[in-house]
Amino acid sequence: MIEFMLNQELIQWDATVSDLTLLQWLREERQLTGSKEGCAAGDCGACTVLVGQVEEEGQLKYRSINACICFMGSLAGHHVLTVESLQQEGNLHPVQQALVDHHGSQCGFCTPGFVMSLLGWWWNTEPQQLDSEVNFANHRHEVEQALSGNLCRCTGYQPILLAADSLAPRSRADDLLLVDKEKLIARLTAINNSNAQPTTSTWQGFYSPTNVADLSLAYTACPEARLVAGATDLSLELTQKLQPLPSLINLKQITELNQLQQQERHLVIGAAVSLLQMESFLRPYYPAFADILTWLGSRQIRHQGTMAGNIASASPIADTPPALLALDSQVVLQRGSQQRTIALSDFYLGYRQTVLRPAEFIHSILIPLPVARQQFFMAKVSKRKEDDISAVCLALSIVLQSGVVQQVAIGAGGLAATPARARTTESLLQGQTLDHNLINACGNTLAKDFQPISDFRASAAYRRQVTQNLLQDFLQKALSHDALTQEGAA
Amino acid sequence: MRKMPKLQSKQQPSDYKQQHAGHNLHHESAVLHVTGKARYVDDLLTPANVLHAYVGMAEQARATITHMNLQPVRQMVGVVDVITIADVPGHTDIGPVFPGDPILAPDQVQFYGQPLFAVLANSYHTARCAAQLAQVEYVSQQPILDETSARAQQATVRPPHTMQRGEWTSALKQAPQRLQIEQCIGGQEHFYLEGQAALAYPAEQGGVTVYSSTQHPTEVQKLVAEVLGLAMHRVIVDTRRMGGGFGGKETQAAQWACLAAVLAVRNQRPVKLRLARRDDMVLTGKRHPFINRADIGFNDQGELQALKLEFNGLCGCSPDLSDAIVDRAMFHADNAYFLPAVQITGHRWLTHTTSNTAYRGFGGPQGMILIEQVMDDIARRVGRDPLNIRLDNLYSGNDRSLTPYHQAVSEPALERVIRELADTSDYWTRRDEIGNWNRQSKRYKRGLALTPVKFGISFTVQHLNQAGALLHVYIDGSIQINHGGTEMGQGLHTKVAQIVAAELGVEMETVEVTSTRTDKVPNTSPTAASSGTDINGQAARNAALTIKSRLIDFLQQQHQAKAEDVVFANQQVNWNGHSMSFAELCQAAYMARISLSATGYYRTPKIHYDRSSAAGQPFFYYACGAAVSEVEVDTLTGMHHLRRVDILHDVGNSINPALDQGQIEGGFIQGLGWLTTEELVWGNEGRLQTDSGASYKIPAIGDTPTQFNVQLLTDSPNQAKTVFRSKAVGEPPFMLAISVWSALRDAISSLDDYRTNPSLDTPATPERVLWALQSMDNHGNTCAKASE
Repeated sequence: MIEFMLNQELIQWDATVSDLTLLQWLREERQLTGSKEGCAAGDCGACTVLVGQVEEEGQLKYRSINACICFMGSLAGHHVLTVESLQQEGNLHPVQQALVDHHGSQCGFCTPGFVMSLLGWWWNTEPQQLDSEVNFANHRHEVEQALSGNLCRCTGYQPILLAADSLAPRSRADDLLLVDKEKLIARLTAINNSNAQPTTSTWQGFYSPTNVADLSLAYTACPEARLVAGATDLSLELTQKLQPLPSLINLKQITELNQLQQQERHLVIGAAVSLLQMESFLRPYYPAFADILTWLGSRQIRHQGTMAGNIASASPIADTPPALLALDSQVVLQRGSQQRTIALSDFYLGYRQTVLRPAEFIHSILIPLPVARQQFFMAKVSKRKEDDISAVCLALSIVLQSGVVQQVAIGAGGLAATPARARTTESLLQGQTLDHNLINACGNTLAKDFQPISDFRASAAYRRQVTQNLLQDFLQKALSHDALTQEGAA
Repeated sequence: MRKMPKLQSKQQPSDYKQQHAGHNLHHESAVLHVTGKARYVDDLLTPANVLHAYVGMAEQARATITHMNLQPVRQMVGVVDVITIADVPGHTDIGPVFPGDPILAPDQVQFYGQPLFAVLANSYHTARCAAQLAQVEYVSQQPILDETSARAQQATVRPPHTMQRGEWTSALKQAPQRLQIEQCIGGQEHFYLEGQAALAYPAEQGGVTVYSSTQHPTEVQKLVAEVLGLAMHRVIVDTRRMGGGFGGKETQAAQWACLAAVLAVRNQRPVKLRLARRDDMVLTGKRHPFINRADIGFNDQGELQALKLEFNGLCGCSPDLSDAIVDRAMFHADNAYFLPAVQITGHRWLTHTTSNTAYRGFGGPQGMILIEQVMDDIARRVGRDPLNIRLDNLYSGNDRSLTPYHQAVSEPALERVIRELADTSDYWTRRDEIGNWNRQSKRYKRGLALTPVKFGISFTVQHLNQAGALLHVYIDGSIQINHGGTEMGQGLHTKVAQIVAAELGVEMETVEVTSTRTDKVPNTSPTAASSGTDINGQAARNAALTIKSRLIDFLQQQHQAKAEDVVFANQQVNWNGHSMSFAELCQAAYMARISLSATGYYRTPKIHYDRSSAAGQPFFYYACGAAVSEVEVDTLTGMHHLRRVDILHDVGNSINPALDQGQIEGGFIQGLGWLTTEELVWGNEGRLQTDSGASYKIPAIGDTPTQFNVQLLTDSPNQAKTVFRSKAVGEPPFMLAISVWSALRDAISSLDDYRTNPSLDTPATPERVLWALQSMDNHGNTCAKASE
């Protein structure tokens, strides 16, 4: 049995069925049909709801998520807010009214999802005047990010953007939905969930341990169970392939796995940290990495998904591994009480295969801190900018000293069966003076490093060509930057 | 009625003027949309005994089924019924115009995913899981997937059609300059956010009521009746709204409604059938891919002299609407330009893919894009700006007004929109700025293009150009209007309500547009061809005028009012200083036994087309518009983005400018997707590989240009006598997006100072753009191979 709030109601839900999604439950069991199923895969956002959680500082924070790929068990202690709850005293919520006023709906099927994403954005930003080009551009960027996971096929988005513009300067303080926030926080905090721990390999259910020791015990007892954090990838086995997921162990409630800190030599990222948290955390260290994170999936996906999941799914087209590989990152793996730390480049064995042993899990990711003169570049190539999967994703970390390559690492996605380093090219560059000839020579070595395939995202030839173009551009930029800093030093 | 309802004396609405036609009223369902209370088929309350149907799908594109074991399906717990084509009591072919679309596959499979059987179960999930359990054995054959193999095997779904005018053969030979062009134009998935869905309730005497997400309730009614072996009067189809249609629910909604109906009647239980997104994408037809070829002759100033144009539509495995779609491509081969001597041929090739179907523009976009490339390519050949080439070749009256199908074009808005837009968008200044930018910027290149649209309005099948409406006035003065059109987001019901409210002088709140039902208005046409408001709005208006004239007659008899003095306005009826409320008048009329219910009917005048001579007047009028797009291309990756778009579009006297603007913006962005990000890729075995939102990318919010200036042409009443002199707006703006593709080619050709014509098939993905950039040395104009 778990407890959570649905709109104004406390729900007690028998967690024996592990693989029921929030959307199925809302629509089929609660007849709350305002949230729509457009794709059941987190691609369209028609099912977007807000999920509120009391954070460590006692703040209630709402995030937009795709209800279609959210497992019921993960809602324990949360507040689920659906479109049905927004009207107060018979009046439209300001977000709803703005969409009406700007003709932001046509067929209306995507609209509830847009309402919820807009509400999530509105609550999480301060009132802002759009009186200069700069703050207008920043506002637009933020709105596009917030709505990046909501597809509309009718409006072309323009009236929705105008609705957001009209909301930006409005005060959030008079929002009736937020009046009883303290009471809500008290109710949510009072929820005390306990659930049955797996003890045998035949266990079925949804288990949310709160510490790593319990996780280890449970996973060791039932290695057949699947680990779930954001569920953004795992859930597709259910909703797209119709495969049952009877035994799930949830990482999100484990404090230790939510750690995000700078240590002496590393950034430590817990396995349950969401991609959205990563965006702001990484920015001071590796801005190019943080930029690419804003184009990974959608806002809803980044609210849920984790970097550890991005690594563990071992997809050749995952977007964070190229950067992590280029940065010589390590993963901390744990089984039972034993931990081992290995280089990410040793983590992948083959297509969708990793070194993870039964009952072993990713505990955390270690990203080395930037060193002096280190330059980091990253680019992602896809058909669409928002919420698309890369044809090629490329990252370069390089340390130049007076034009000589001191350190170099190249990480790539979409070019091989796993995310991979470009070792031949790295050897070519290592210790050499970077010049135009050397940069041009990278074309040949890249061809040795990677033999990409053709698929519906891009042809092999395009992948090769664009990788070469991007790498040469990165190197050129690194060289120019190095020359500039030398000038500066001189 | 024994006792009249008490009428409340209502205050005059203060913003009364805004209730009239011509104003920016919000969509009639806007509040329901934003509150989640608007119900789509899957949201309708169902009884506890509702069952769920799903289809089992073929795993071959072209094959003979030698054995199909459905026992494992039947044996799954929760399965109630399984049917094959043999279990269908009536007709088994549901082709909308020509046969070729079996409700379930017989022993021949025509495309990958084709439904082989339907299963009925006690839950949606169970039905889907059970549908995967069939054991099917096939003898497979090599599927036809492209024009080359179709042509080699002369595999067509319909015979070719040709239009011609003038001595094009000799004119072509004598032309000072010649160009040959080939372009491959990709198809497009509708990606309506609400997938196909139907809910069927068994009725008495073997009948059935079907709630269907369809643009064509009457056709669904007819086909449901046929597959059940019933007369049409035993079947009711109800459509309140669709979560998007775009043509994808014109014919393609019928199969799911028919299967749900057969299973509902057979089991005497309510049955729902809703396709999951991936299956919807695999199973239902799309926009036709086209391979277009042109051989053109022109003079040294770039003036067209003769053209030989060929359109090859890839139709999929059956005719569906392909005949009319390829015709419409041919009807738009001229777009806005006078073609002095021309031959146009359209082929309808068969491929072993799902049967391609209607999609916003209905072949028009695929037809129009060829002549727009012709304009750009001539411009680069003769060294003039493409805008001047376009203006010089425009239809311009007198001896330059006849289309290739012999209809005269007399549309002053066409030249107006181009010239006014060139001004308001600063085309010429920006042309210079972009030239400067491109000389200085090595990596990022910019391009600019203005393209016009002239789109013929009317169904090219004459009999579809008719509509009916049913108007009830109740004795409290409230009004129900029902008409044959369906609401898919375009705001048709809002416009119809505005028209009725305007004619009867009442507030919008007084008028309720009810769901489209075949038992209220019979024998309706699909809501398609942008005709929704033109025909249904006029039919509704005629119904309102009938009621109005009855009420005026009544006032004449009872109060000696003169007909010409009676004014319906402000929720009141006034004559010669007398006044009563509309509701009072209705009550009085009822007491005097005057009928307050009327039908309205409309048929579009003047139109005809003789296919044997390829001549006539297929269109009542033309809708026009123009767009200027500016793009920036990254020469390292081929990725690109849209910096600015300016649109000027002619909607005649707009009934609702806000809704019209929504159609223009939405249509443009949908066209942008078609031409840039939306790529359909089939594997060699004929399986669609881009079958989900993860692999098929429709525009997202960041694809909307930051500068998106959309204006309606002012002071431009429709010359044709349409309802309130408005113009159709659903489809025409879609083709404004051709300006984006044209601007991309402009940016690419900047690499060699606009001397070479780059070949750029669509969608112009980063990959295609990169190859076009690279080919600037090799002089383009070859048709790149379809994706692997």
